[in-house]
Amino acid sequence: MVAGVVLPKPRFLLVSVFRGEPVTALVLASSLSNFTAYMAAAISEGSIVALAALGFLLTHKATGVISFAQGALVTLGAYIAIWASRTEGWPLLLSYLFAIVAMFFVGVASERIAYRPLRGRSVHVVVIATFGISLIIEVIIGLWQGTQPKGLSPLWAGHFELFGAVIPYQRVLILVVTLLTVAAMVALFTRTQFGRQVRAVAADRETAQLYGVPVGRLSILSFGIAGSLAGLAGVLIAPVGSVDLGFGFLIMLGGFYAAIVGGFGSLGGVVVGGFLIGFVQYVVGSYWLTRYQSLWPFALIIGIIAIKPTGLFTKGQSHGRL
Amino acid sequence: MAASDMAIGVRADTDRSSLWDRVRPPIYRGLPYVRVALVLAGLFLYRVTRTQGRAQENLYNTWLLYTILVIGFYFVFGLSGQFAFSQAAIYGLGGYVSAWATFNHDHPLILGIIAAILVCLVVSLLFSLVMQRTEHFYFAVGTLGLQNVILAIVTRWKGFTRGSGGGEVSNIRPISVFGHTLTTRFDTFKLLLFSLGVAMVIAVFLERSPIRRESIANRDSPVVARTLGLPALKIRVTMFMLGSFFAATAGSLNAHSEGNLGPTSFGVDLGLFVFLMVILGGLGSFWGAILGAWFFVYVKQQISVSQTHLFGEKLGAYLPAIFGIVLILVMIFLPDGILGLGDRIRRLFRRDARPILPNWLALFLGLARAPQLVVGAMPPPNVAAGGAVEAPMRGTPLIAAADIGVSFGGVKAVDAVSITLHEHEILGLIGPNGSGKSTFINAITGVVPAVGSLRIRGAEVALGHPGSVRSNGVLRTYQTPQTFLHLTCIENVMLTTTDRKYTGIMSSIVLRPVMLRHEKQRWRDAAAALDRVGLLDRAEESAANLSYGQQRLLELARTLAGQPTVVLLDEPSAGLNASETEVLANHLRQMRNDGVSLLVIDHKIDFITALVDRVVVLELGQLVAEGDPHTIWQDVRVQNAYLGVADDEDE
Repeated sequence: MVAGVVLPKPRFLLVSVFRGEPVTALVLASSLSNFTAYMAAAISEGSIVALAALGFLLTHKATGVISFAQGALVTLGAYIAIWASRTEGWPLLLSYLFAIVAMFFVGVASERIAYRPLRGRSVHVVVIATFGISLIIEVIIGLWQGTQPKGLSPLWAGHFELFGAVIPYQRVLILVVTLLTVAAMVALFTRTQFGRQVRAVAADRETAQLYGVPVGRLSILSFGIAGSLAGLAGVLIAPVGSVDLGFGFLIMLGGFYAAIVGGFGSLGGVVVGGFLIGFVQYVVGSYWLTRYQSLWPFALIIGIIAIKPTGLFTKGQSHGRL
Repeated sequence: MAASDMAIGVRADTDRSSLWDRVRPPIYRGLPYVRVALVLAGLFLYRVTRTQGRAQENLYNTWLLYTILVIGFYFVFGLSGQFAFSQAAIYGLGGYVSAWATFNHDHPLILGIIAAILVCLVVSLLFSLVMQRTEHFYFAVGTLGLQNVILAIVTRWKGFTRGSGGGEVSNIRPISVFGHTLTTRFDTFKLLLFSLGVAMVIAVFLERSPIRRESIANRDSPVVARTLGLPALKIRVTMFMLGSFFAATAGSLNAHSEGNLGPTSFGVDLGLFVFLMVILGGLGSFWGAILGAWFFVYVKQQISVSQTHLFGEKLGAYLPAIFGIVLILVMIFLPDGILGLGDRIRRLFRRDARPILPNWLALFLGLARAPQLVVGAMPPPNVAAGGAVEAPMRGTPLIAAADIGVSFGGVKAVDAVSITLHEHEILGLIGPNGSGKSTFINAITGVVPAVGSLRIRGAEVALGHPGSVRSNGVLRTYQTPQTFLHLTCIENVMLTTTDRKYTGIMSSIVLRPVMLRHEKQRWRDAAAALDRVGLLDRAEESAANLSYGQQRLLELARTLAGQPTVVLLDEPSAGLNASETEVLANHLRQMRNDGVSLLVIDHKIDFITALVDRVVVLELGQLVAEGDPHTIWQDVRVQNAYLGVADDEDE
C-alpha cells in the first residue's frame, strides 16, 4: 500500500508458473529470503489496513455512515508525529502518543463539521461531506508541512534477520500493536457500556434511541476513537516508508477492501481481510504482474464479490450500507 | 358488463375517458427542445460577443466539456442514485483510448471516439455487472478501485500510452471534420457546442421517457420497484453505462482538442468534484449540470489567478479545501442546488395573483407551473354496495404455496405454511401481531429469503425473485403505503404497466415515436386507474402531497393499473377511518368481480368478516386454522391464538 517499499525481484518465476507447480516450488525458486521479506511486508501492511478499517467500522456501527475522511486522518496522524519529533524535538514515544491523542480531537471535529449538521439526511450526503473533510485536511497538511515526502523515525529502530530476510523491528511492533488494539476493541465492544450501546445502535437505531441510548455522545466518541485509530495506523506505518499527502488514501482504500473481504461487520473478519489484502499485494503481487502490484487487492475484491457478494465471513445479509 | 369493455379492469365510461386524455406526467409538458435551442443560442452569443483572449476561450471550452461530463453523471448519481467516484476516471480513460486508437495517422479520427465509447462501455458493463450485486458502500469502494486501476494502467502500461511512461501523452491528433482540421479555439468551441447540443437532446429524450421514473423508483426503493416488475439490475447497469458514454465522449473530445493528456487531469479530486457540480446545480433535472459546471470552472479559475493571500499563501493553494467547504455548505444549506433555489423563488412568485410575465415565458423560465387539470368532484365508488354482484364460483387453485419457511437467525418467523388461493376468491390471512403474516407475503413475493415451493397456475415459480412473481400476475401492497414521493401520482401508477415494450434507453432515443405511442397509452391507463380510486384530479401532483389515506388509494390504483390476476394486500385498512374502509372494501369486491383473486391480511374483524370468502389463521409462524370467516371464531385454536391459552388448558 505504501510507496517506498523496495523489495528484490524473484527469479525463475515464469518457469514455475507455466509448469503449474505449487507455491512452495516457487518459493524455493525465488529464494526463501525474498518470500520471508514479502510475508513480513504483507503482515504489517495487513495490520495497518486493519487498524484503519477498525476506525471506520466503529463509526459505521455507531452512526450508520462510513467516513471517507479516514484516509486523510491517517496522513494527518503521521504528520503530527513528524512535526512533534522532528520540528519540536520531542521524544519519539511522546510524539507518537501526542499524535494519537490529538487525532482523537480531530476525529471529534470532523464529526461536528461533517456528520452532525447533516444527521437525518441521506447517507450519501454525509459520505460526500466526509470526503470534503478529507480535502480540507489534505490542504491544511500541505500548507503546514509542504508537499515533499517526509520520514518518521521508528520507535523501535534496528532489524533482525529471518531466513536471510532483513526485517525491521518496526514491522514486529506493528503486528503486536495491531493485535493488542484488536483485542482492546473486542473488549470495548463486549465488556463496556459504550460497546453495548454501539452494538444496540448498530442493530436498531430507532429502538436504541427510544431506550435512552445517547446516540449523540456515541457518535462523538466513535468518531474520536476512529481518529485515534487512524493516528495509530499513521505513526506505525510511516517509519517503514515515507509520508506524503496521498499516503493515507491508499491505506483507507485497503481498509475498505479489507472490510469488504471480511464482510463488513465482524472485527475478526476485518483483520483476516486485512491480512488477505496484504498477502495478495505483497506476496502474490511480488511474483506475478509486479508492475501492477497495487491492483492485486482490487482484483481480489472483484473476485470475491463476483463469487459471494456479501463478503467471505458473513452469515446471511451483510450490513455494508453507506 | 363484459370484460372486453374494461380497459385495465376499469368500467369504460365515455364521460370520464375524455378526462383521461388530459392528464400526463408533467415531465412531458413544457417546451424542452425550445429551451435547448435557446440555451445553445445563448451560449453561442455569449461566446462570440463577450469571451476574449486565450484564457477565457479555453475556460469556456472547459465549461462545455464538463457540462457534458456532468450531464452523464446526473444519470448515474442524480437519477439512479449510484455512488460512483469513477466518472472522472472514465473520462480520462476515454481520452487515452481515443489517443491510442488514432496514434496511427492512417486510422480515421472517428475511430478514436468510437473506440473510446466502446472501451468505456465495456469496462463499465463488466464492472457494473459484478458490483451492482452488492450494496452501496461496496459499489462506492469499487468505483474508487476502478479509478485506481485506470490510473495504474495509464501510468504503467507503456504500450498503451506509446512511450514516455508516467501517463503523459502529447501530440494527440487534432479533430478534423469533413477534412477540415479544427485548429482554432473557436473551431473547437463550435464542435463542443454541437456535442453539448446532442448531449442535451439525448438527455431530454431520456427525461421524457419511462427511464426517468423507473430509475427514480429503483433508486428510492429497489425492493418495491422489483415487486412492481421493474428490472432493477438492468436499470442500474444501463444507467451506469449511460454515464460512461457521456464521460467517454467528453474525454475523447478533451484529448483531441487539448492535444495532450496527463494522469493529473482525472484524479480522485475530479471524481469528487463531479459530485459538487451535479449537487450544486441541482439533482432535480439535468439542467443543473450547466450551472454546476459553470460554477466549478469559473470559481476555480478565479481562485487560481487570485493574488489574495491567506496566512501567507496564495488563495490558489487552498483550492481543494475551498471546494470541500463549498461542497459541505451546499449540502447543508442548499440541498436542492441552484435549481432548487429557483423552485423556492418560484413559490414566492406563485403567491402573487397577478402574473408578472407572459405565461409561456414564465413557464420557460421555470417561474410558473404547467397548467393543472381540474376534474371536479371525486367520482363515486364503482360498486354501490358490497354483494350487489353475485360472487362468482370459486375456481381452480391460482397460487399454491407449500411448506413456506422463513428464519431470522434462530427464529422461525414462518414455519412450513401451506396456503392455496383460488380463482375468484378473497382469502383472509389473520393472526396476532408477530404471527408471520407479513413475512409470509414477503416470502411469496421474494422480498425475504425463504424455503418452500410456490406454484402459480400450476407452474413452479422460484422463490426469491420478485420479478418472476410479478410477471406471473401477482402484485402486492404494503403495510405502510410504499409510494414514490419523488414522482407524481400518475408516474407512480405508470410504474406497474404490463406493457414493458420500448422502455429502454435505445428505444427512447431511436424508436421515439413508437415509444411515445406506448407511453401515451400507459398514461391513459394510469389516469383511468387513478380515476377509479378518485385521485384523477391529483394525477400531476407529487405523491408527497397526498394524505396517508390517499397514499393507500394511490397504491391501490397502481395495483389496478398492473392488471394483476392476484393481489396480496398487507393490512390495506390500517390507518383508514370507517368510511374510507368501506370505500376500500368496495374497491376490493369490484376487483374480485373483475376476476382478480385477493389475499388480504388485516386486523379489522368486521372488515375481514364482511369481505372474505375464507380465512386462514397463523400463530407463531404456523397455520393453526382455516375456514369460514363467520364461524372461524368458534374455533378454540383461534381463540387461544388471539386471547391466549388458559394455564390449566391442555392445548
